[in-house]
Amino acid sequence: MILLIIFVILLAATVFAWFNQRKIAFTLFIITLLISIVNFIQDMTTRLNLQL
Amino acid sequence: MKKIPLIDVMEGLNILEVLGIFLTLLMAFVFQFVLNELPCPLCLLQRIGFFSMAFGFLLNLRFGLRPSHYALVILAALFTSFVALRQIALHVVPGTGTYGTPFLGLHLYTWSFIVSMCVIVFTTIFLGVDRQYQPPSTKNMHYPKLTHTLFVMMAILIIANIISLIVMCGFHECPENPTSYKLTTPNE
Repeated sequence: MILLIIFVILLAATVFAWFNQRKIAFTLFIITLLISIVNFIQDMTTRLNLQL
Repeated sequence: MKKIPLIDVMEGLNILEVLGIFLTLLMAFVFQFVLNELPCPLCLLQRIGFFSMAFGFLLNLRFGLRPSHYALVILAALFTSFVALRQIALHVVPGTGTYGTPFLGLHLYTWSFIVSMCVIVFTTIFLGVDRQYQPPSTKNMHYPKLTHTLFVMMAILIIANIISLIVMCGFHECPENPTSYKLTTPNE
């Protein structure tokens, strides 16, 4: 589900960039990257019960 | 001989990088649909990383060459390399199994790591070319038709990934090792 949300926000960022809305696209992109990083860390720590 | 302006050269290189990334993402689709190798959650995160790299280059083509756009590409490539490295670490010990079919002797997650490292190196070199930067007020988009085409390609690729993700996992968390499409095989 979270991957789906990331893809949708990335699509929105692309569309905004395409239609010359740099600030909105930039913000959406940063949000995408942050959610991706959180998802990755969550995957690392919970999915395989790794002890970090 | 007519001298090609540096900006055109740099934008040409940006276009080449975007096309290279799109080719990588298309290859991932070939593996998914032709070889029936469904992407794992980490593979999908790597795809997101590649899209993010392409997004940075597209910003360069749309709004002009800026260090902040290159910075986004490097951040995205770093993220992708971390995810790929994590997947390599999961399978690096002999006997722990692998994920997917190797391509030219290496698995896709290893290629993903190599490609993202190459993107980091090339982007850092591009970032260091000072003469490419112009004031933000100057006219951007040296290749408008090509830039619009690349944006359309990016949007189509993302939409294709969204559809594939919905068919594969529905609106739930994706399984760690997917073997079938959830929407086409509802009884599993």
